[in-house]
Amino acid sequence: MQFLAGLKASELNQIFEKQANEIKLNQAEKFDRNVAYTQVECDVELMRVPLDAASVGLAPSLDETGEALCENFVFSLLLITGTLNQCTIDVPADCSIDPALVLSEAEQQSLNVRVLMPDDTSCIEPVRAYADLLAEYSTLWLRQGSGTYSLSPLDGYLEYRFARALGHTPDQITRNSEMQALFTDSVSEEAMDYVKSRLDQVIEHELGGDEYFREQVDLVASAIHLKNTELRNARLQMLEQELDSRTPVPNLIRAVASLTGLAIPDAAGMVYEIKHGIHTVLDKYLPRAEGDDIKAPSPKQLELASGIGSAFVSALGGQDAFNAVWGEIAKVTQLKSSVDVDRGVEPPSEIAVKAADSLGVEPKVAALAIAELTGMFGSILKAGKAIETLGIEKPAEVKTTAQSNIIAVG
Amino acid sequence: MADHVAFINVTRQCNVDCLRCYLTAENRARKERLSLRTLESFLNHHFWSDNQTVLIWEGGEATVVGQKIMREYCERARQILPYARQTMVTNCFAVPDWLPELANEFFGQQVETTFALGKKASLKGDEAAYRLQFARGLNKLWQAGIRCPVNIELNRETIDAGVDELADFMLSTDCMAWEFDLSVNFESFRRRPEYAAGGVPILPLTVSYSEVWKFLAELEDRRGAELETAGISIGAFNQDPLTGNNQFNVASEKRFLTLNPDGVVTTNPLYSDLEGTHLGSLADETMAELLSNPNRARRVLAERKRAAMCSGCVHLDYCSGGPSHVPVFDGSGECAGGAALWNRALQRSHA
Repeated sequence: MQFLAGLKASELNQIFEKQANEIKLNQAEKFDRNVAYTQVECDVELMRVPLDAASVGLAPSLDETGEALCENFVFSLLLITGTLNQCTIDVPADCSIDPALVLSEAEQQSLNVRVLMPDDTSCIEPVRAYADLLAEYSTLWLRQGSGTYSLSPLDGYLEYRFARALGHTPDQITRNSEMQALFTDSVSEEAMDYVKSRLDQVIEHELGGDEYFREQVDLVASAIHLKNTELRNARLQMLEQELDSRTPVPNLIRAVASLTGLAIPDAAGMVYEIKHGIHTVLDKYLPRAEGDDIKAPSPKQLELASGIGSAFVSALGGQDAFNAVWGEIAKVTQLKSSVDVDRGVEPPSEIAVKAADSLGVEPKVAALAIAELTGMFGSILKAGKAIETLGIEKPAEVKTTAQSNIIAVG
Repeated sequence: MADHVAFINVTRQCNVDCLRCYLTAENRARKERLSLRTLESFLNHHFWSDNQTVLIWEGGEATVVGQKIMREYCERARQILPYARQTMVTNCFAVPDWLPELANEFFGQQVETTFALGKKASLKGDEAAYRLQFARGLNKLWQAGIRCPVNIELNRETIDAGVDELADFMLSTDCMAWEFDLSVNFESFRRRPEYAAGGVPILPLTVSYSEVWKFLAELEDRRGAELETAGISIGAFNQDPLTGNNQFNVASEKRFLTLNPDGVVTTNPLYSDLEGTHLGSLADETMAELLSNPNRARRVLAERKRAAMCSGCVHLDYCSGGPSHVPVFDGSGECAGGAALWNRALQRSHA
């Protein structure tokens, strides 16, 4: 970055003209924005911003009445903010304009203000008046409490003070190269310490000492903590909703999470992988034959389900006896009424309440988890045709016919 | 920091005939449409992305472009400026079924409209038909859950119709939010256009300030309680020094930009067809070049100087001189900001 200080607006207008002419002559010509124009004096209205300008800082001046800012200056500010978003008001170290006037303009236009160092910063003496001027600006800025613009180098120093309150002392006040060039590079340590101590006096008077910064850091940390807690709770709530809407056995997963201490996503993964593992084993040993419908269950696996179902039916003394037993199981486990349990219309059964105690979950979760587990077993019996339905299937869709667009008019 | 506001005239075509419209009759009849490319050129600039921004879709009548095109504008704008608030100004003359849907999706369930008790008519010149259609359209929006405040242009005809006719009309609709705007006679301006330095148009009024503020005071005194009981809120009666002036176009020259369908850009939407105010066109210039147009900076300065005429007024801090497209004083003893109304507001807050 190249720094050009103290040019006049008329000179910047000429620079632009020259650059525009160069482009006219050579269409391929391009200018990189790598020049910082600082303390530009508005002798005329700044009509065009040079094409190589990375930033432009205008020095304030007064009009002929001596009470208001010069129109050339205000006009130029208004004009360049449309072209460049790096535009500042640069207050020279020897500026005698009322700081309130300058800060009021900065607030109106939301432009940052830089109170620039004098040329000689080799020792305390030449920066004494500068430090007083900066103190005056800083006092006003801190009292305004406006959030629309910043004041340099006070802003960088405040950051430094906050960092120190956090227990970290940065080796540099700022890492911004433009700020370094304007406020820290080539400034003697003695002069720098003097300016810092003057700023400390203002800060101490307007805000307080180190305690103030620690309090503010605590406040910010508390706010971040609160926000994090809110975000975590919101995320948990979303996760619960996702669990209900995207998995077939959400309560079984909740119960597994409680039993194992796993996080919900891990418990969901574990249940899914168990299910997937069973299917993998079944597919390995009881695969589909060539030509079998790949969308339907494997016939061999259906035969196994049918065999299991038949075994239960025989063991219980026939289909009627089996139906009665399955009916009782479905009733006790609240399989058929699980929708009502979920809505809170039906309370969890006694066994669910007891299981809840042991599982460490809500009774409703235990009731639904039991129902989900029973449903899984029931689906094997259903596949083997030992039972006709589980009782929790979605009702068949009602077919609708398209409405006629003909309107009867009489 | 006040919002930066983009007024985007997607067309200047209109389905209503307003005698004193700020758009020319010729442009209101043309079926021009804003191109997406022009819209993109307008929105892709730090003037919007670096600030809190409101995008207001306008016309003519914006809805005449149809649902498909309007939706494309809204979607593209949301892609470019996802945090910008969008809304629309419609004349409510023929509210399409899709508008409430679009308002729900893009406009935060809020659009705006304008109204006056005269010099607004259907394209066939029928004022009664206009008023009927307007009320239907307005009710349709409120019944669909879309908040649509009405900005009443306090023109000569509205003032002459009287407080009762206006209050009765307000009570006859479902609308619960009404505002008031000063009326400018663009028809007369167009016959003899006059500009001050920087392309500041010198706009004539249709009614004096003293008549405007007297009318509003009378409306509040005679019918205010009844309107309030009906749940109707009126911005002018609720002006609060703490929240500033809620009139249209108060100290806005720096943060308003208006885009015409042909790419021409100006500041205030009322200047859409006032050539002397135009900053240039996106057809052959960039946004940066248009924003750097010296006339824009001159108009901001002129706006500040205008407010300087109020120095010494106790209301200056929050009133800021009222709408800046009209003169501060008109010789009637009142001012654009409505000192009488501010006095009443202060009395209320002290009571």
